[in-house]
Amino acid sequence: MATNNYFGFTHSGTQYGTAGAAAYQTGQTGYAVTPTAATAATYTAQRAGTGYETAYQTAATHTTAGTYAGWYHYNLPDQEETSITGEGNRLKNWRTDPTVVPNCIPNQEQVGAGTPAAGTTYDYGYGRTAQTAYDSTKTYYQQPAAAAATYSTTDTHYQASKPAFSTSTYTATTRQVTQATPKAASYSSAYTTQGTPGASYSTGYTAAAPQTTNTTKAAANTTYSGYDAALYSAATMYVAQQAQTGAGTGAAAAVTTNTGTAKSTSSWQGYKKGPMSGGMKTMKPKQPPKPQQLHYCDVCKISCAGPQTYREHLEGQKHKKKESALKLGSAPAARGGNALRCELCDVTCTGSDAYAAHIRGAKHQKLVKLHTKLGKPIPSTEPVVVGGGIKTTTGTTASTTTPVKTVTTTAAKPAIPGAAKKTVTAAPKINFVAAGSLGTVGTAATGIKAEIAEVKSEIKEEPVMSDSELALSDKDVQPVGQDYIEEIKNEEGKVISFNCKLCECRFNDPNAKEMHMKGRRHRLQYKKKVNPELVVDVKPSLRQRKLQEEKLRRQQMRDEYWRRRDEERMMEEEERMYWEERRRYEEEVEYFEWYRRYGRDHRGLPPPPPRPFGPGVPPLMFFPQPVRRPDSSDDRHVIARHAEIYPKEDELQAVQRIVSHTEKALKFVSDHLADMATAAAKQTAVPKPLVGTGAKTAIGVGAKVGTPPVKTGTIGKPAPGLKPAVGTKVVPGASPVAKPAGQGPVPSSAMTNKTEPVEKPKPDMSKEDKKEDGRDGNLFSFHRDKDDSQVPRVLKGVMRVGVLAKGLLLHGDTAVNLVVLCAEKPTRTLLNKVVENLPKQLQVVAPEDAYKVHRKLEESAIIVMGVKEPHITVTITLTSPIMREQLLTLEGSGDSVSVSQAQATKDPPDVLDKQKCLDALAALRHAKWFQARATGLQSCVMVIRILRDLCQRVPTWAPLNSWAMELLVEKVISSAAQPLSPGDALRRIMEALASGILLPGGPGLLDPCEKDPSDAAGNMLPQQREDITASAQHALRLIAFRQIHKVLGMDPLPPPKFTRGRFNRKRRRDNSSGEGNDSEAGDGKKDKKEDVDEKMETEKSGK
Amino acid sequence: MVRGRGRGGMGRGMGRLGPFKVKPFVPRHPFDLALCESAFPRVKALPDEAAFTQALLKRNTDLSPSSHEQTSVLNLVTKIQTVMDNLVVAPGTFDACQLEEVRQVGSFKKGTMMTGHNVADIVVILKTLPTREAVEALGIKVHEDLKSQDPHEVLSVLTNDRGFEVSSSEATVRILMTTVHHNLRKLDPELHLDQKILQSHLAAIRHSRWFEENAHHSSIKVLIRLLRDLRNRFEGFEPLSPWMLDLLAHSSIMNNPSRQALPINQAYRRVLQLLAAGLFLPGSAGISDPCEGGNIRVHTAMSLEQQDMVCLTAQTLLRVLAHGGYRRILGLEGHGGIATEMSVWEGVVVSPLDKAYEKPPEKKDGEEDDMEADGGGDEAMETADN
Repeated sequence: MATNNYFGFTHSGTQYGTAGAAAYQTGQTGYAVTPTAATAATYTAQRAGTGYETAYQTAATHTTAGTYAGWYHYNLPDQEETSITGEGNRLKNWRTDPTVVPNCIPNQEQVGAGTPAAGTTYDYGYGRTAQTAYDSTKTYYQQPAAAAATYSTTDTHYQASKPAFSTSTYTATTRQVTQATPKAASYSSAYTTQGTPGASYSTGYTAAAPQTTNTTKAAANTTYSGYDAALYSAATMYVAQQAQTGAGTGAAAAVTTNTGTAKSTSSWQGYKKGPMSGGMKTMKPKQPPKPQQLHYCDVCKISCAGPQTYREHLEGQKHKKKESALKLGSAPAARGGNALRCELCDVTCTGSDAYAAHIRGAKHQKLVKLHTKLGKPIPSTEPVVVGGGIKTTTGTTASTTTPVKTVTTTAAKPAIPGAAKKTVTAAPKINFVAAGSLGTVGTAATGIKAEIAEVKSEIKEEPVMSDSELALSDKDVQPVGQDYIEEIKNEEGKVISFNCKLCECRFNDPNAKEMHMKGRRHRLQYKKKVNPELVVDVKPSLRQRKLQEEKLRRQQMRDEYWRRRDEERMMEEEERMYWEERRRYEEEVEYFEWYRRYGRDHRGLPPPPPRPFGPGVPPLMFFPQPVRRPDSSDDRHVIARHAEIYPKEDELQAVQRIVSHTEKALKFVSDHLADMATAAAKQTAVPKPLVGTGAKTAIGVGAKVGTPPVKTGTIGKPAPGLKPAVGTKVVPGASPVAKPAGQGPVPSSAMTNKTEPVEKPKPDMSKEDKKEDGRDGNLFSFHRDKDDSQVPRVLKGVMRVGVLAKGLLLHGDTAVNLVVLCAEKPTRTLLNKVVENLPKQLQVVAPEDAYKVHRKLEESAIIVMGVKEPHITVTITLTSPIMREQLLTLEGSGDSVSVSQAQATKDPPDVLDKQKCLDALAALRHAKWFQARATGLQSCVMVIRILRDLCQRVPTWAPLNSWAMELLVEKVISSAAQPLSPGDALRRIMEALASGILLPGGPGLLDPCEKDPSDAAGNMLPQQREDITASAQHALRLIAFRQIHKVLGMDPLPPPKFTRGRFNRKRRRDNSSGEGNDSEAGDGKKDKKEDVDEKMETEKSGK
Repeated sequence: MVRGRGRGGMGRGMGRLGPFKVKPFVPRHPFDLALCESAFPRVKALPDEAAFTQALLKRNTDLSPSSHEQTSVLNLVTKIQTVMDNLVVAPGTFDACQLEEVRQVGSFKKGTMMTGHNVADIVVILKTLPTREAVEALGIKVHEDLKSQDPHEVLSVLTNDRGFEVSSSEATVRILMTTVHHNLRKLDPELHLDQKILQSHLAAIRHSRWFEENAHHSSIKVLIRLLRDLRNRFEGFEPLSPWMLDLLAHSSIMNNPSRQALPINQAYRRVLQLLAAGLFLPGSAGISDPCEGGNIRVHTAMSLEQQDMVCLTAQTLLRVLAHGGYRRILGLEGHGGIATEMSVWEGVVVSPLDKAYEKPPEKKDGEEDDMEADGGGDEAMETADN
């Protein structure tokens, strides 16, 4: 063994050298002691070398630990920690040599003691080593190394068996050493110490022998001795200091505060005594024979069958937990309520019953037996009441009590020097036997005892108090929830049991019921289910508390997690928002860009989107654009339906073409008539100048003149505006010279925004600044800018009216209207002249197209019909503003004389039908109004088209004339607070109709184009109004319930697939049933069939 | 493309309704003639509606409770209120529950009680949780106390799901139980009264408070009474709750550009117009509940089918009214079948309407079911995709 050790030593020795150095360094930071530690390290090594025990090696290891200890010292000056270190040491020792259960630290101490002069030093060194070893511990540095060391040892002892005492003894020794005979004293004390710890002693003793060796070695080792000396002095100083610090310090060592202090002090005294009386080397420990191997863990209060199990236990989770709990002083955790505690078993019971049960229980009994066997004190069975703040102290006291006792023991031992030793040797490893016997021994011991007794009594008192408190509080508890206790009766009506509905439990005993009602569980239930404000004291057991802590921690973690997640989300959100904003912005820019590009050029014209007849390429594709995001299902349906009813490209072209040709031809007719008139006026022999050339020159001239377009904004203007122009010309045969002058201003002011036509067979669609026909919806004046003719034109201009002007043409529409304004009241003669001349001019304008022109006298109109498919008919109505002017002046002003005069003079005999002419004039005004009001209104034109389609499709709606409908739509949409999407706009129309706007008693539709207040829909019969209203009401609900397709007379669209680009939509419509995901395909077909039926139904119901 | 869309689905659309809506689903207020009269200047003078107004007022008089009725209800209410107040202040031995507050609510409190319906409502807020036992115990206690006050009066106490009723021979007081707000989440459906009911009682308190502050105008009360009568007589209006009627009456009288109370005849017609214009249809802004946070539209409490029903009834009645059938609508003559049967007025045939709502044809995605939310989601999603 020795060899082994030796080898080990050599090996470790070197190590230690370094280790020590390391420790040193660390140590340096603060403490003089540190060097000691270093030495200590070395020392240990040496000793190990002595072939001491493997234990030493471990000790060495500890030394390394000591390095750590270095820090710890400084960190936490507290002696208690020593215990931990000691523990660690012990453990390690055990590892090395299981049989040697007890601590190595005692050994070390012994060694220290054993060594002579140098030895003492070593001792201290050792102590320090121990300290160093304390690494895990933190405390302890307040006091000089040695003392601390001792204390640490003490702690160790506690853990193992109560060897603590030895430590304390040790301290004493040290001090003595300082004071008096150094070596001897130390020795004796050391031995005593060893003796006390019982079990450890065997080891201790073993150690003793080596010690000598040690010393020798030490002697041999000069270096060490040198060190030693230094150490020694330091140590002594420390010890002295310690001594001064007195009991207090010692107390610290004693682990617990209050009681501890008292005890340690006492023990101190005892120690003093002890060493003094004790023979110096008498104590030379003898190896105890085979001590009874009873492995008792003091912390856990259990005995182990063998060393193996013991060790396992000590390394076990449970033990460590308890240990640390004990160290933290939290062992008797503050428990709520009135818990009763069995000190012996360290068990907390919730009530006296439970406590009684525990006392009776096997576990408790077993422990009692064990303790009796070991001679350990058995705390009274009187329960310790643990309650609130008191508990902690009580708990500590309780735990401290044991140490105190041990201390006594130790103290006692020195008193009987030799004998004591012997006893020790003989004694089983467990101190407590000794303690018991020692009870009576030394005076100091008695003193201590007394103190202990005091403490005890205190402790006892406390319980009493809290007991009474408990009783009190018990009384306070008011039974609650009487109402929820059901009495269960047997057949005779005798109450046999009670049932608590809250807790779902039953009892037979009324007392039990009472108890239950006061009980915590019941109260909790009551709180939970009946009165949340009931105060139920919480009783977090250790476990509960842990759970709670755990929960809190988890909660925190969760919070943290969420917080982080939220942050992330916010960031994400922000980013998305940013992109979204950007996207929108870009879209908007794009839109305005588009708007600008297409819109600016013909400012003064209606805004671009709703102008289907503007350029040759009708802005079909752009049409939905003004509605920026046609989004809802309703919108999609409306838009899709709109696309369906919107005329096809070629239709538009055809209409455009024929209208354009007709307009140009009319212009030539006008020129022709004008030329004729001029000729007549000049009485030239040449009746007909070359029309074609004339026209051409005229146009050529006109082309140069770019009169900036001026918009006629107001509705009323056209008529009054026309007046002056007409007025000048009213006098038919007036001086020709005057006329051109009169005509001059007319074009720019009254005949609004026109540029002179440019002769081009194929109108260039993209160019719009040159007006070649009336496609912008304004008057296409026939006036030539530099009209050389001196005669007024009879045909002043042509204007598109009706659907054509408003852009309401629908798919399949073939009839369009033009109105030609005449300078005078149109007559049949004039009509005939035009009819005669028009075909020729058409021939000139469009040689490749064939048109049929015929007269419709009863309509006061000329009809131009395309020969080719589709047979588009252009109805040309002649009218003159004079017709209305007359009327207005007639009604409005009093000077009837002039008027009647004018009438008398002007009315030719073959004037065309007056009403027709007036209607045509109204149509002109409507067109103007429409351009001013409706075209600019979002969704308005689209909805009007949809409604036009509805009026054509559903007979119920037919009585609603288009002008009334347009008015209604415009009013309803413009009265909405915000711009509406097409779907919303349609729904709002239906809402208005459904709310009875057309019903009798409603406000009516005031016609803005008439001077007198008149109802645009005034001609409708009550039944028609009723029917339309009913139909609209149904339609409204259909829209609200997602069946807008029934209202629109179309198939329901499948839900949108993805982004609907402008072109996407059309494609979807084309193959709506085929497209879509597979699952919907089947449905789609079925739906379609149903829809056909539904459509029919709606139509029927419409009727 | 398609995949992205599929993944998005409806669920994603819903999810998008988060804090940042691309295009929020903004329900629109339906067309309301009273709010946009400027756009519709009258072509003809307003027809004379004196007769209609007279009929309305007469009907209101018929519907108002007699003073005797009012007194009897008031007596009972006062007694019970006293008993309850005592319990609040000094519970004494009564420990089955603790009372926090006692408040009168409902038509009696608002002054919109109707004759023949002598019921007053009192809401009791408990501090404790409203177990059935507590309700029962309170009922017994109240009964006892009332008896001790006046041993001769014959009272019956009947417990129900909402609380209990104390009835005398002439009047009934419904005691509606509820509990303080923070208790609501502690409720256990097995032990306590239904949470929905409790919440509705709390809401009733808010309603009566709101009413006191905002709807004290007597025209409103008259209109409410007329509307209640309308609701009682026309089956289609059944789904309208008293609270909806209160709000409807308030908004149709007060919500106009001039902020002056409209005359009763206009207001009455306006109610029908609003309903007919789909005020209470999906997609409409309706009336948002002033007593609930979060902009809840009151009509969403009705099922879609009910919304359709209410709307079509109102639409038919509106047409009847326009053709001069107010006496039938007010129940002054004839029977109430006009909402469901064809009728002829001065040669104009007014035919009832059909339902527009259809049960969603076993669509798995429930598209039609929650069309409103869906509409919103749809929109939000679509724009997001753009």
